[in-house]
Amino acid sequence: MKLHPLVTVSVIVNSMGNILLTLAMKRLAPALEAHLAARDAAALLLTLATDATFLSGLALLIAFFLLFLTLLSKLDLSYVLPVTSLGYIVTALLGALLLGEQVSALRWLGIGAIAVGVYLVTRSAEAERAAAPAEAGL
Amino acid sequence: MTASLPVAAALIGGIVVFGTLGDLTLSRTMKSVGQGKLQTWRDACALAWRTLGAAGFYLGVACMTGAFLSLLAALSVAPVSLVEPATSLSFVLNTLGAQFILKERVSRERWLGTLLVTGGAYLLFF
Repeated sequence: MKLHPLVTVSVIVNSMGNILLTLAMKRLAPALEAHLAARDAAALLLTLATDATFLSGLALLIAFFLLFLTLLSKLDLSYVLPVTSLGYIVTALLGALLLGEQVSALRWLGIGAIAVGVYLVTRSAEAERAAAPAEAGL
Repeated sequence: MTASLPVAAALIGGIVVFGTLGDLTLSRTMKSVGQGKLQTWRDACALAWRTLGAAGFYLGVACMTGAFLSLLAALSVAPVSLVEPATSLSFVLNTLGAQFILKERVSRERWLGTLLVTGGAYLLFF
């Protein structure tokens, strides 16, 4: 089974973006809530706009959107969408490793189901490519 | 929970429907502007330029914004444990749209894979 290289990059970029945003929002939550309570929108935006973790997370999510659009320009939506769901697995694992989040038994089951699902979708794309080799490459 | 179930259900429906319409619109738009080679940075810039000139791009982004606002609204009236798992339904709706609106060929194997991903995404939030 071979994943499209751009798919791999998008999955990693998406997960890293989610993790960085989570880290930033958790750390900034007390400050943001104080600004919200004081109805001080300028201070709220300034807090976000000067936080390196928040900005890198945001940049990665924007990069993911651009990669996603590029993938859609060449590949089927019914392939791209399930396959990019690998990001859920990477995010769950990184969340466990970096943020110390719990991975419950049900969540492991979900991770397994997604992995098998992505395997099947990728195999169906390979079967299609074998049947129609003239498909334009990316 | 502070809102009635119908309100929460309508907002969750908004997330799924807007998100799916956004994905379908963006997919159709990118397919139509994405013809031709994509190998050099010059190709990529030309693709970006064509994308920004396509009305479907803005429609798709507007739908995505609608989905995001529905998500924020839903999260403010219903618990995360209800809202997040329900959004995994968008995999099924998107694949239905891809098959019947975008006319993609979705084999039985791909459907099975998509349903597994949907179920898996649902379980991830527990």
